[in-house]
Amino acid sequence: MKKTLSITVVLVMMLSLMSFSVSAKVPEVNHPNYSYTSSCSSSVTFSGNTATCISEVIGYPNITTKVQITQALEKSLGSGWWYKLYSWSDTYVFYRGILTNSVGGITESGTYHVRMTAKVYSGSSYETIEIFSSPVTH
Amino acid sequence: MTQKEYKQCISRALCPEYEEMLAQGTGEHTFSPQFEKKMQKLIKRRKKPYYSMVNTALKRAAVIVLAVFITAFTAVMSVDALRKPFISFITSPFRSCSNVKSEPQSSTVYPATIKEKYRITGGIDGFETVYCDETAQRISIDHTNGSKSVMFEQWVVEAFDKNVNTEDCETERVEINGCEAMGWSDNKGYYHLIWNNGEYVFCITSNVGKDELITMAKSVQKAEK
Repeated sequence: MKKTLSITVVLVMMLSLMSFSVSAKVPEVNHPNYSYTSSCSSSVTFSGNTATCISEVIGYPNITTKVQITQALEKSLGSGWWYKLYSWSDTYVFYRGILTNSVGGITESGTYHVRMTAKVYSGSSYETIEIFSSPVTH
Repeated sequence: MTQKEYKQCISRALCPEYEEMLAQGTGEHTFSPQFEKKMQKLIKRRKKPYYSMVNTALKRAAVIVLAVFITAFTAVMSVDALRKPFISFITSPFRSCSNVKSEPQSSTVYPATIKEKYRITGGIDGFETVYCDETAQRISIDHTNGSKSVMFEQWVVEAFDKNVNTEDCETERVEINGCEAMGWSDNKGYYHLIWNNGEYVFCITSNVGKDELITMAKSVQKAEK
């Protein structure tokens, strides 16, 4: 009885794992950086109390098919810590994309930068890029 | 009474009783059918070649874990998209990009915004413009002839700060109209050039080939208004 139960449990576990592999959807694959990216840049500038954030990703024509950019304006808390103030995101079905956002009413002085995270696609494969703009003192 | 006499007395008293008991118990014993069946099973199991691998509970548990692990590993490896991360995870530490930013001289005043627009004027025949974007600090123009692409950028010096693909390649110095340019060929067959003319920073990336691209770079001049 015990032996039969053990064998049944093992068989059920093995079959469930095998069925997982058969029905698994092929996921998007995250490749190392700069397989599909030629260059990228990010910047923040202040005009009065208005911050303008620009993030750009350039891929390769006929290789890069889509670019998804997430941009966050962050303020320094010191000791390497940053606080996210605003975040924007957009997707470009093209080999390059540029995301520009402006936000006013930033009266607090301090050091700011833009964190850009981008997923750069070639078909279903993609790579994730993250860069930071040079810090700017407001 | 000595000890010897004591022993003799005990023996004379108990021996007949013991002999009687032994006589009652000398009949042949038969085991129950269930017991016999169990014993036969045990004997049969012991004769199996893998008995030594499963003869204790711990060994049996280890065999089960190993079977599950082999099945799981086979399942994962059979899916191409799951297998690739195992290979890619090992090589990613060797890949790199480079950050390129300008170091303006403190004694020089550079334009804070783009006041004069530059364009590629030579070697661009047969190419059409497929992308154009202008901001106060940067101009981007892409050209293509279907199979080849040329991506041109003009930046104000203070704003130039890019991460570029320099995986597994070495940069070289190239001369563009008396200015020193940084050039390299990337892993996608594109050649890159970055230089400045004292006022603005220029970047050109293309798969037309190094020599043709240098010719195009040398033709960069102010666009006619």
